[in-house]
Amino acid sequence: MGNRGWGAWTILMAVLAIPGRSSGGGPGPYGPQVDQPRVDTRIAAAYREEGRRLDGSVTQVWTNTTQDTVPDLWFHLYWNAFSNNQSTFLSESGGKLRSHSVTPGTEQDSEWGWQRVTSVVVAGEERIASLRYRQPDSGSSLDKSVFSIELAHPLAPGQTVEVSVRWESRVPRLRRRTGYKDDFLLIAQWFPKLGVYQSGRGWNCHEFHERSEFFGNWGTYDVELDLPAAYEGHVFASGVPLSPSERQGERVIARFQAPSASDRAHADAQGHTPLVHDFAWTADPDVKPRRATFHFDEWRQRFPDEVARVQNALGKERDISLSDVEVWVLMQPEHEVLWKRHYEATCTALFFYGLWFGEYPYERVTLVDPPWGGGQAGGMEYPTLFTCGSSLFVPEDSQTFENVAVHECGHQFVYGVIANNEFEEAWLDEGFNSWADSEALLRRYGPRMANTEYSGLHYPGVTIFPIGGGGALGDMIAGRALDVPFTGFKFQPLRASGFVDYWRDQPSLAFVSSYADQRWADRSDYLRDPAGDPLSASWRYKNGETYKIGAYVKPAVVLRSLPAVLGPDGDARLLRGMRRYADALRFRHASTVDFVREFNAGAGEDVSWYFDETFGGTGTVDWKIEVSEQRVADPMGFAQDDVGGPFEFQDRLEKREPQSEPENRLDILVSRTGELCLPVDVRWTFEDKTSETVRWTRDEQQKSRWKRFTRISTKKCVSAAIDPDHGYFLDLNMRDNQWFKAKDIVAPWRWTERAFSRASHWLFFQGGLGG
Amino acid sequence: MADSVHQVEPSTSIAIPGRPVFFRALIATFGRPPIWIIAAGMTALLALISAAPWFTWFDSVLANRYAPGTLIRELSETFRFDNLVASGPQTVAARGSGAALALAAMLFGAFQAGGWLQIFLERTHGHSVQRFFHGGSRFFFRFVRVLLLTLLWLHIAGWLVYETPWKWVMSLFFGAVDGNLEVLTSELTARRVVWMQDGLYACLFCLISAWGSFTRTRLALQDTNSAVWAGVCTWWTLMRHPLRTLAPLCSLLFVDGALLLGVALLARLLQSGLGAAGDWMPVLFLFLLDLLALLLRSVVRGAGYHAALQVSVQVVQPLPRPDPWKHAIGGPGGPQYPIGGDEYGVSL
Repeated sequence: MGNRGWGAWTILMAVLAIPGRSSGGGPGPYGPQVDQPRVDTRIAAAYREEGRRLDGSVTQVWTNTTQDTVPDLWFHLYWNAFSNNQSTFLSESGGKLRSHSVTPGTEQDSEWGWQRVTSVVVAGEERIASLRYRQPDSGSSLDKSVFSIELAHPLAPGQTVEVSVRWESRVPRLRRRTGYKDDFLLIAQWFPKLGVYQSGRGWNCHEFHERSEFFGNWGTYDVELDLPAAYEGHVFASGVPLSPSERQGERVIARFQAPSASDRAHADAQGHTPLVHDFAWTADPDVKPRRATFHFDEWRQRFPDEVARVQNALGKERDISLSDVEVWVLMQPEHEVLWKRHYEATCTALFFYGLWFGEYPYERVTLVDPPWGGGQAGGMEYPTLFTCGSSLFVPEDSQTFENVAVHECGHQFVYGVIANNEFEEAWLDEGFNSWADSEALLRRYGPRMANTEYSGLHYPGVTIFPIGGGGALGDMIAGRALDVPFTGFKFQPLRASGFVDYWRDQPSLAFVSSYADQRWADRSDYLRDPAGDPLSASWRYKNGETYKIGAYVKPAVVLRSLPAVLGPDGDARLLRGMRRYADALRFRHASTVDFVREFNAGAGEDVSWYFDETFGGTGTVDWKIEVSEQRVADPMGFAQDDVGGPFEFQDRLEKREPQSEPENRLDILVSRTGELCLPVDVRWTFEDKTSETVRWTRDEQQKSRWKRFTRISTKKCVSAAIDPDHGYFLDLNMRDNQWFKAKDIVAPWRWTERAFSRASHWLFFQGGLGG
Repeated sequence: MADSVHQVEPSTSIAIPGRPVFFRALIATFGRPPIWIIAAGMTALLALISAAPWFTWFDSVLANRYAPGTLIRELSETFRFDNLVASGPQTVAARGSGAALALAAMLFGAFQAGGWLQIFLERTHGHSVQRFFHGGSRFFFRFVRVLLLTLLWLHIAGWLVYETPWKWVMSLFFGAVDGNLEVLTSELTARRVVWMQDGLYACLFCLISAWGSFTRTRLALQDTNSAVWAGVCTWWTLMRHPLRTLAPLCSLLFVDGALLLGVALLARLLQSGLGAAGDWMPVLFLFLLDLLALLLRSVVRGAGYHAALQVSVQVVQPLPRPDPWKHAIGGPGGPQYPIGGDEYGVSL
């Protein structure tokens, strides 16, 4: 899809008319700022291991803050996504949950999960008879992840209603964010949850999709959990426990409050009282909880440059200090030794995100390390609680867990504090987070080291040269595999096997160290399919790849390129724009329109066009620079002194003194392919290290796809570059963005040596099979 | 059957007692520089064929587009991505040519084994290069058959360790369906299972390699043609004398590993010195280190045959050979008198 205007984009999205509302079509997902409804929730639930049952009741108090009179209430029943393989979720995923096929078969199979509502009392009146399953997005009648209740009396604007729902559920095997693995429980999206009502749009209550996350009302949670006694002292949740868990025979009662009482009593610097928009909990008899406190002053001393950068951008008068946060790290026993890495990563997010988006407003944050076989719970965020993952023998330089922990803790800011509709505008949390996590990781850990795994052990380094094989013929010749015709038999003499592969590869001799700057790695991910989709509702992307690009990395590279768009002082203006947005939307539901409005105000420049073209379109850009330099010839030839006079040959046409040094004509041609027109600098440097920088403006690029710069000088040009400071992370190919007079003559030998080393050890290994 | 014309006798140096077998093998092999230089040189030549196109590729890609010295130490993320498409044809070509070179390497391995065994089996009197090539060609097709058997054994080993039998064992012990270890309650246990699996395969791989060495040695020693029969007999020998046969080869494996470790430390040192634009020396030394590693490994590989031969002459029973004088009295060049006959003749 080509580049389109913001208006056209908005209209198109409206025409697509993403369903999910009980009333009217309304504007598209980029419509005006949504209402800021509040729902306070009380839950009492009991878990029983027999049959993996989780039953309970939830009371939600909702005030109609919209301008509409509301005739019904819509709820999510997320676990019904796992109740049959025709649900919207499993239909979209091809019956798979994070690459794991749901076991076909009977009710006995442990993969399934479901939720059943047994009672709905609205304002003291039982309304279960009006329950109706809704499929606002797919129309699949077998999806039961959304239901509605008809109100006996429509709720007028400003009125409040209390609705109590009793439900029963079967806990699914942990395959997708929630469920159990042996004794471990990670329970999320687990109760009948009221959807979000938006003025003019009705209920924004989507089915559970494979590629989407959630959207919830702001409010408070008071939760009481009744669990087997084995979990005593090992239950953790969003918020904080109200008191130590209480033993009652073979059961234990744990009570939680989110936000905590002290959080609720403490308004932040902007005067907002903290709220949350979801509640999740975890229980594990084996978990080893570790606790430490994040102190801003420690981190301020460790990263004074970053503090100064933010302080300078926001102004000296702005208080950018952050509150202390109690960090709980719930480690599996065999991973306990790794807890400090998780703690450090969590603090990394609390510090850098705190500087960029404002402080973390809750007293506690809890990190959950799922057990072996429960990794599908990892990498997910809930208010004040998030999951990551650990693995043994993984070097810190690879940043494998650190990457996840920083990202998920980062969601406490973009998702947790600044909430958004993750169904429809996932980029507002995932994209922001991808931008910020790479920046934070780079500042704390440096570039990420690539390594090669042999039998679960990591060797630092990689090979960049392929070895023989590939294709049926290649594999056969190299002795790897042969499909014996007509038999179905596969002859595989040389299999992948860690220790033998290590001996074959000899990585200590033949590999190269490789580090990736996370910011540029985002660009690489974006360029896998840069024109695949504009930003869209999560389930409307072409495939998982374009979803990942659209929700995660494209926004990241677009945001990261903003300083180049903004020009001088771009970095500070970026920080100001981001902070303005974060301050304005704290404890609110943010939309793209909110972001653009607030960012423009904060950055002091209207760059709506940039977001329009990048987020609303699929346009790309690829710049190129070509340089030619040649000596200026002395002016000579036939000249005509007078009009009508004869032409006479002259060996010097101009009567000026010859230059002591020959003059050179420098021609620099910059050109652009792709639809994006972004202002960019062009710089060339002469042999005396002087340089000249000019800006190729957006207007100029809109008029012409190329521009030529010509200079006559006695100095020779040694290098020239377009976007010389590498401010844009969007260029399709940066190889042709620069030119150097001198050529690297060692590098080809250097890499040929590596190829030789790689090939020699591999061929020696192969030769050993022969004799 | 044995061909008396080509029958070779083990050199007396093979049977010298005293020092460990692997050590004697290393000394004997190291004393024949032309052979291990040829062996290493052949592998180096094949590797050079594989690597040379990359020089052209890098030279054309780098051109004047990257600042000198910026891509010496490592290739940046942007370089790797920006040139991904451009490297596609080269990658495909490298894979294809690599497969052909792998085949060539395996065949040369078979040739090389024949050469080494020929040299160790006879006194070469300074004609070792000539006898190396003679032995290589003489045993080549027999050893190619051993290569095919080796591949077959490797397939069976892989099937045992990674396919149905292993999955059955996992199901029996852990209840793991289709080998899926997520049923375990501990990552460390799962890791240990994988190490056991990969370790078992590595041991089988080494055992099959040792079997190949002893089978080739047996074929050369007895000068027989049947690779299958020699292979069966070798398994029997390995089972009867596991320590005697495998210990020298294991020792050489450790020597190989130790040498590689030393070279790797040097390589690391050189790699850390990379980075300056126009600095050729570390690159040159890395090339030389690659060659050194190949030379050392070729010596160790040759020593493997010497060790196998030392052991084989002691544990492999000599074949009963037909006695050419069984039915006559006399000898070559002289009169032969048939036993039990009334007539006699003169054999020239």
